[in-house]
Amino acid sequence: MAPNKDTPLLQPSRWTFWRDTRFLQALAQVIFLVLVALVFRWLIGNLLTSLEERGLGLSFSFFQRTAGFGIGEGMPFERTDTFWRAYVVGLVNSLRVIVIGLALSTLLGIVAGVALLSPNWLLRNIFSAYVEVMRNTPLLVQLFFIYFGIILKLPSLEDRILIGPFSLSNRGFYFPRAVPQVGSPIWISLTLLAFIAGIVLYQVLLRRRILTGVETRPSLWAGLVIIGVPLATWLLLPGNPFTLEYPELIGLRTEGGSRLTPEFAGILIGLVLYTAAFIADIVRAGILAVPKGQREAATATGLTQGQVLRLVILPQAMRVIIPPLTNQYLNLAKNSSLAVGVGFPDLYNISSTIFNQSGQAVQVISLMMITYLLMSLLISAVMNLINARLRIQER
Amino acid sequence: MQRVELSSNKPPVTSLGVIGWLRANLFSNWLNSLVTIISLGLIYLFGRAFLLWSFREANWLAVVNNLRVLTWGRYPETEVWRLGWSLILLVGIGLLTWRLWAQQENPRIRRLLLTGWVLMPFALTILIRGITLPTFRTIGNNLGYYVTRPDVLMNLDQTWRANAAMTLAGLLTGASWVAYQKRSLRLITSLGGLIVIALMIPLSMQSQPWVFGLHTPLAIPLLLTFVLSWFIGRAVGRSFANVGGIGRILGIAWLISIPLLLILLTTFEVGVESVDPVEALQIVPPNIWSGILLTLTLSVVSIVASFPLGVLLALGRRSTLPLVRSVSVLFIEVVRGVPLITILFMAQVMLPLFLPLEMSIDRVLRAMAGMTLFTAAYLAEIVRGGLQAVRHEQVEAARALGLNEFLVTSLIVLPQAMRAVIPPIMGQFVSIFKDTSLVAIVGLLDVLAVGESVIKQREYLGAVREIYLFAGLFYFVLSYAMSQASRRLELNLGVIESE
Repeated sequence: MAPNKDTPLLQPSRWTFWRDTRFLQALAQVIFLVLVALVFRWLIGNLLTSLEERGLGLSFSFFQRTAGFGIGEGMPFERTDTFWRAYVVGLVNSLRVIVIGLALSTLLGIVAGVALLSPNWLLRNIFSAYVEVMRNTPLLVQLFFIYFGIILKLPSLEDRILIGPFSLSNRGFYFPRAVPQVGSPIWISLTLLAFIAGIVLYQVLLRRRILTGVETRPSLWAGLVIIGVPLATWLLLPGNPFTLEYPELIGLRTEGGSRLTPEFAGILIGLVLYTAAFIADIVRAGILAVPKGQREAATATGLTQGQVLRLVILPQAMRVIIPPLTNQYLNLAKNSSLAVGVGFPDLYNISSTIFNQSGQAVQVISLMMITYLLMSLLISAVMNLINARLRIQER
Repeated sequence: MQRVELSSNKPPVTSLGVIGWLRANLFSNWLNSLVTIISLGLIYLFGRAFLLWSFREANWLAVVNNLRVLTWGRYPETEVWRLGWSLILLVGIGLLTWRLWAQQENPRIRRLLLTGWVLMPFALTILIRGITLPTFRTIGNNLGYYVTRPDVLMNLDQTWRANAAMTLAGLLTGASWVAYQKRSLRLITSLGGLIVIALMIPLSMQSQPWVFGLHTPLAIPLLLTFVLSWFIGRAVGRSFANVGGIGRILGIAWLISIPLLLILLTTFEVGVESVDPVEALQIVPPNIWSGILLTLTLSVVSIVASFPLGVLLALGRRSTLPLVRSVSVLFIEVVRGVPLITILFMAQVMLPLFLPLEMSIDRVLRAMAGMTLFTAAYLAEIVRGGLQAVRHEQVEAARALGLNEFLVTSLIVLPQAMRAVIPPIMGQFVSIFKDTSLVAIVGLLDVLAVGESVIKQREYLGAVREIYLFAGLFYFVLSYAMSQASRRLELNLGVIESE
């Protein structure tokens, strides 16, 4: 950094290579490298000895062996399936929790964040109490309370709580299942087409309104197409494309219908309530970060309160919100590993079972960590993309 | 002058007072009123259900009768007073710091408090874990091994004591070398170092497989340790050379180090009862720490231990050396990208594999190691933020004064960086404190796991909610207090920072 090697005003000092910054830096790196290499050599050496001592290897081939344990939930899995398949089942279960959790906690977080700024004193304080409680207790305690203290304390299947076709018991939440009939492929494809057409129509009409200034009512027409076409098809088809199958109690178990297991419900409710509290605070801070003049100017131009929020405040707040929101999304993905606390077979839970069955610690743990790392990278990549999109619109 | 009717100046009932407040905050329009009524209804329903449950059904005895086991678990009943003293020490120094830190006029107070904080972990470890001390016979007997039977030390695997002693002696002599200007003092302190070296001469002749399995005489690692710590000591001494009273502090350090060295060198058992060290405070090994005690120890240890590592990682990430930088980035990003539970799992299962077979560590210590690595990565990112906040002029001015890089970092950059990141570090403390609950999953008995075992007892079989509400309340009170303190700190600092 400091160019003190040539100072001609004084007597020419002799250049010595051990005083050259470049040399010193290179030397420091070499020493560092050697130290790191030594530590690694020591660790790996120990690892190899202990693996040999315990009769374990480093090969991943054991993933092809039969698992020998059952998985209560997710993709179909037999005891005779391989460890690898068990791993995939766990991964899919984790992804299911994460994706649904992300969507729900964002929704609840936004609602709670807006409620934190409500002019209503009672509402504001209820939500701020919720946020404080969630933020200041460990997620695991919340999960245990929700799962063991609430869900498992629900009445048994025989005395289940019936709410119309839905039923709630400590065996889970049962609801009717839609069974596809003959006409369902036609209905599904037409609905999809209508959805795409609706979006295209909205864009086209919106652009025309912006260009010509003529009111083209894009939301109305797009909504009509998206709701009207499926409705019309449903009515016009000779038979209903879907029929409902109700869960029925037969002896000590139910048949038919769909079921949300207590474990899945537990981890999902816990994760969503916990993450939403953090998101709420972020949303609140984001909205507060928009200068007051923006709201006043928007109101002055004659926009309604809803329009002010939707068109002026939120787009600007989003820029403040996205980076910390990304962090919360990453936390949610990582916290989904606490599903093991309520016995939901997620990635971590299955991995530790695989480890217990096979004893192959190094492979199982490294594979699991890499998987989680990839999930985190994926989430931050997507969020960075969104962040970049939001930023481009800035002028 | 116009006359104003006085009676009309009274505040209108509708906009002030209780009714006014209610109107403005709860019933400003029909939507607001609806929200208020629905909220009140919900509060009534939930509150009623909760009160009914807690007075009629709840078995609070599950908590009350087990308060003891929830707090210190299996810690021996006769030794619990030590936990009390630890708490008093910790709270005491905390309160003192809170009250006295702001007093600028007496710099000595701050130095004393800092010393207290540095010594605190050692004091707490001794109090909670217990300590064995050598008797005079132990010292006499075991010191003899260094001189006459160094092979015994090798067989007992106690050579690390020699390395530790060399480190201590090296640091002290190095620091004394620059701190003392008088030749006589320099000589005396060097003599102290030389005595320790001389004691190790017989041991140095022994050889042991070292790097790449080569049999090397112990002289080489021992000497390396000494030289390295001498240079570090010299650098540290130079940083504080101009601080008043460094000579006196070093003098005290030398005085303390003599018994410390003796204890360090001789506290090992040779299997003869009459010479073996005795337990001055009964040893309570970490694997029986449980309940709230374990929760608190885990959080304090991981916070304290992760500090140096976190700062080093942050500095490494900003280093100009690409190799150092990439290793730090890799560590930080990997640790931050995976869930804590996987790291704890790795610490429980994989850490023993990476250590030599004969070196087995406690399950609790493994969890501490995992928590520390995890916290360090997060702390590094926080500290990096602080480092970026230090203005570049500060660094340039310090360089212009002729300070070397080490001094620039330790005296100019780090103090300013750390002050800037106190609030986020407090936030990290809260989150680590909450995260310690995860050790329950890997089978340690923290407050949550002890609670689980209480629920499994027959007489408290259904008391799930009671126990978890208690655990939640415990975490909430401490976390909330910490976050409020950090918020206040943030406000105080904010006033200073924005000028």
